[in-house]
Amino acid sequence: MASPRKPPQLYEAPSSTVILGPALVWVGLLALLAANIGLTFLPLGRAKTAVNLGVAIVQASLMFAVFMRLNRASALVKLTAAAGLVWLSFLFLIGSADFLTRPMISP
Amino acid sequence: MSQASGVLHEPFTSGVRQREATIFAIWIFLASELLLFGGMFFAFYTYRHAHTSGFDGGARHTNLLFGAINTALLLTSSFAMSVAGRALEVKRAALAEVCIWVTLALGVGFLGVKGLEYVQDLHEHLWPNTRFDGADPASRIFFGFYWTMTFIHSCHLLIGLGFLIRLGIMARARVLEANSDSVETTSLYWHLVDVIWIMVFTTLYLVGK
Repeated sequence: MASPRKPPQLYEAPSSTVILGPALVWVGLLALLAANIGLTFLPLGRAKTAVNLGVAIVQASLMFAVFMRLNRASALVKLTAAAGLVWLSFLFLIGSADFLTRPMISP
Repeated sequence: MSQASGVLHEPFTSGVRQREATIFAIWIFLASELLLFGGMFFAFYTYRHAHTSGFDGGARHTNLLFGAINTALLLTSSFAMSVAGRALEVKRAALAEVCIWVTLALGVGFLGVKGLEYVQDLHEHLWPNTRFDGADPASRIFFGFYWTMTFIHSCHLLIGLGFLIRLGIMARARVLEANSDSVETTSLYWHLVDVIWIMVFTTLYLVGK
């Protein structure tokens, strides 16, 4: 006889801590904010935009992973979030196509 | 985390299935929000690539202090909202309620600071019309993006505040645990609004400075 189907689990395990876990991430996010503001005043030249955006992406990733709990989410939720990023990448890629190829067509 | 919803609604016959559908649906919505703001960011960086000096000149007019305070406020509000959801899971409804009100207060604080900044911007003629106070015409395009992105973000935040007030009322009525799905979806929406602000702050206040 087949065993009963296991109910779907959206999060794989209960939260281990109520305050400590989010507090550590919060401190990290504030430290990254301070670092990003500090980096703005360094003479980084053309790399500055990439550095600033890189720090912001790390902050956003922390928010997605811990505060929005993608680190413990089910495959369904992770796949849905990833789909958003995939469509976003299509937007950037197809949107950039004109700018990336225009010099080849009309130098 | 409790895997089942508190109150069952039509057409669901299982709390677990209802919760799965709710979380799935809110993530579909959040993905569409990413595309809305993604289009704005893409347009911004495309224009900036074409008019770098004008855009950087515009960025030098934005108030870094106001922007940094607002970012810290929203990061703290996300921390409070995160604690609220986790507290509810371990049946600490009183802590969850306090955190919901703290999140609400920080969100209102954000709008207050943003309002002060808007007043200062208007005083300095940074509204992109014919009286615009900018030497480079491209700075006017920058401020077109500045007002559009910050205003649309503020509208999202205002909607989030409405959801938080709803949760606060539920907490007062002692029905928050029975509506744990609403806490989870409001929390996810609020965090995404904060993520978008992190990118708006970096784009408008830091990149061109």
